[in-house]
Amino acid sequence: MNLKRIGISAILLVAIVAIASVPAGASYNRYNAEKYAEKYAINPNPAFRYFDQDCTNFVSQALLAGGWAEIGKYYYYSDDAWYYDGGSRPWYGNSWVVADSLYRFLERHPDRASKLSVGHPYSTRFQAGDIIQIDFDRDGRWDHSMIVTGVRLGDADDLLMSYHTSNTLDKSLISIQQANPNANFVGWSIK
Amino acid sequence: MKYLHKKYAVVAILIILLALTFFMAYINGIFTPLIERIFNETPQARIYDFVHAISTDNEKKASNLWIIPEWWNSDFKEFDDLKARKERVINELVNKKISPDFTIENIELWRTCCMPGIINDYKEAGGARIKVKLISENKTELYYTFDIFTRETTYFGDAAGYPVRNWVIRDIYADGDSPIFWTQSAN
Repeated sequence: MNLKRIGISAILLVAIVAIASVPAGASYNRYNAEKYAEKYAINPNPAFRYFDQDCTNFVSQALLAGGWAEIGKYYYYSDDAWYYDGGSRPWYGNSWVVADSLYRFLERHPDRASKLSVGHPYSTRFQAGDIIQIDFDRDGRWDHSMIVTGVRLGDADDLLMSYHTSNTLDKSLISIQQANPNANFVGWSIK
Repeated sequence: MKYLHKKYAVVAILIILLALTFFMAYINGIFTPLIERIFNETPQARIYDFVHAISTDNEKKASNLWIIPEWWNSDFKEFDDLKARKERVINELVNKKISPDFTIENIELWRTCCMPGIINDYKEAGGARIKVKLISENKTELYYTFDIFTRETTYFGDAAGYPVRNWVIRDIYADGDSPIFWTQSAN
């Protein structure tokens, strides 16, 4: 038997197993995600590219701050990829920056998030660091991503949302729903 | 012979570099405005097509240009209202024998993703609300608003590399009437 061949095969096998075993990340640190979102909701983090439609980029940054591991680098259009390769002209996955792509990524990765309907009681179903997305025209494509940065308990039962474009900190979800009565909402409990 | 090989190698490298440059420019949407102009993909072009169809009594063409959202069905309460409006407005304009000449009075650009809002940057717009002055046969001025949006409505602009837009008329209404398709408030 050719020892060199065996050696190369073994290395390849280890590499394949290592790549396939990319973990979702250490368990999600909601506190870190929340704090990141609060810090950069109004003034974006200059370490990342700022897009004119920045909502999902902002939410992705908060998820990263909460400990999510990137996955599928350089597979731009793949719904299984979520990454940002930094610099002034970064490479990034579609799901990092486009709300509908992030929706599909989250659907395909139940190890990272569980889908929740958005309704009362908010405070027992959502926590800071969770994500809510909106489909304004009900065409089945998700248009906007926001992150929960506060929970109002008791009779107030509301969530405070932070998002980009336009840059907003701690806006009442109920007020957003009232302003958009024809929109569909979906929530994600992040793991 | 060696010189020729070097020359071909240089040319080949230059071609590859040029191709790469064009590719990068394309995926960053640098050519998008040019492509949209070449293929007449602008909100103003849609208005021109519609007004000219009406002025030549081509109701079928006008009707084909005004597209009820593909995902609307009887579950949408506005579906019947928009269908009825479309029939009524086209009929109205044909009967008034409007001139093919029109004036754009005002353009309001809309961001249609993240939180919808009014913007100034055409490159990022997924919607345009355009007020138009039409002239009837008896020289009366008629004011209509055209709500023209990208086919998918949601347009992510630079985040998605400025894909080429396909503009579609979604709603047309006279002064004093309210929109049916795009009822978003500016956030």
